[in-house]
Amino acid sequence: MNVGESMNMIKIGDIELLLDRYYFTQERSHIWLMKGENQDGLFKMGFSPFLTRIAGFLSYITIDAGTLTQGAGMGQYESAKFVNRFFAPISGRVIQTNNVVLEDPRLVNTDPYGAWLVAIEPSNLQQEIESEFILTDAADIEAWAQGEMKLLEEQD
Amino acid sequence: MTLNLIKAGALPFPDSQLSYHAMARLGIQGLLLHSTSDRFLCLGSANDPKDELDLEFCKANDINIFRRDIGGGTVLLAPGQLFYTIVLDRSHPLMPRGQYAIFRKFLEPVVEALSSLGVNAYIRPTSDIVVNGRKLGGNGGGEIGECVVVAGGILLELDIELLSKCIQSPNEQFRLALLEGMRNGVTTFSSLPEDKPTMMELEDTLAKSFQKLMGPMTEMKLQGAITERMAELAPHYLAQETMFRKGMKVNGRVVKIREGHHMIKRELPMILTNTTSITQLGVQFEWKDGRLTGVVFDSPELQKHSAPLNGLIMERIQITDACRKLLTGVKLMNKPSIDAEVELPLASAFADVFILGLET
Repeated sequence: MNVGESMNMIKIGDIELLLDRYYFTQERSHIWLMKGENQDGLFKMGFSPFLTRIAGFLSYITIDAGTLTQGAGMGQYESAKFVNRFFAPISGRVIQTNNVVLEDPRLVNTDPYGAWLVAIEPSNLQQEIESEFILTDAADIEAWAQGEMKLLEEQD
Repeated sequence: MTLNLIKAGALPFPDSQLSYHAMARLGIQGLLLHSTSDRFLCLGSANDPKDELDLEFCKANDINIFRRDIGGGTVLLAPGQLFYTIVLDRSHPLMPRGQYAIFRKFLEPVVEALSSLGVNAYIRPTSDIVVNGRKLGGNGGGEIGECVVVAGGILLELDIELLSKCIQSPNEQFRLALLEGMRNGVTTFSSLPEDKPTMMELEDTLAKSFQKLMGPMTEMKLQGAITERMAELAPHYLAQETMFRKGMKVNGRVVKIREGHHMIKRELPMILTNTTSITQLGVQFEWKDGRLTGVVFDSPELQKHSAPLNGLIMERIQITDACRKLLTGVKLMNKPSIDAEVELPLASAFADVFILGLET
């Protein structure tokens, strides 16, 4: 397993994890969460490259919850004949969905960090960001990613 | 904890599908074996009936539609097929991570059961059960509630002609090509030289084989809490808004005949059609082990130049490059050749078609 780290990124094998965002790991999730560039308090979320490494090309994504509860189901994605659920990284309200990505889910495969899915207005951020399932620190992200990569390699 | 074995017999539409949706929501784990007394079309979660089906034909022929919550494509379910469905909690120790591993694990007992009936079957990734290169059964899966569901069927018989009429085709030529493709790509127990087992023999063999993997199971009936939940779920699954909710966006018609064999008709981007006279790309292609093994274009002119594609790895850059070679010098209608400035985007659009097949 090759591990590399630069100022803004950790590289585990062929997976690059940007450090300008958080990672939500509950229920085998591979979700990134990032404060939007505007000062509107919104957070964008998307899928990390680990997800596409496991699932392959995504063909369909649905978001079926407008009001989110941390850890509860918020949508599904399909790839290779299999529909997986995914879970809300934080509680709040979906303010915007990225319809470009929902119409062409392959963008998640080609640009996982650009292909955000929804913008969320958090309702309980201060408390929820402390969750053991939200990784904010580079060392924690690296340790988790190494564990995930080990699992993937064992499975391959 | 012992898992459950339900041998439900022939279930009518839509109980055939509601049964495992109910089991998963209730967390009732185990194996469901059943057939169906009705013929109906069962669509994957992402398949939009308006894009997939000839709805007028289905209506005129009393063929119902069910849109399940799990993945996979559109299938015609009918008497003469045996269905197996595994329902297990996401955190069950038998449940691997990722669908590729899930299909590998839970399709192995199907291959083993067929082997014990004298049929030399194998798994063609992602999830086809194949005999002599032809599909004998397909599978799909997904998460419902807290459970993972893997569902598949074995074809003892299949009315391929009927299926080809149910599927939306842009024209009769496409449908006939689809029918021929399906006849070459799909097989049934009835057309194999081996003795066709009875439904009960096949069911017993599958049950034994799955129990080797999943441990001895306790037989239970499809009744009580499961049938109550099925009744609760029925209005949702039979509602028009569930059936016809927006599905996966598909540009053109993509029909997967079996793993590794696609028929695609696709409109090309306007910017390209304005300058090339090609408006639609129609192609059938096959691949094996990630390589293109056969390409048949609708256009004879394209077909004549298709050699660079054969044997290629199904990878975007290589395919785009080969499509550029293919397009160089191709003469279509009054155009002497493809314009240089659209050669790359057109090649890229062609490559998209092949990559789309790989991803479907």
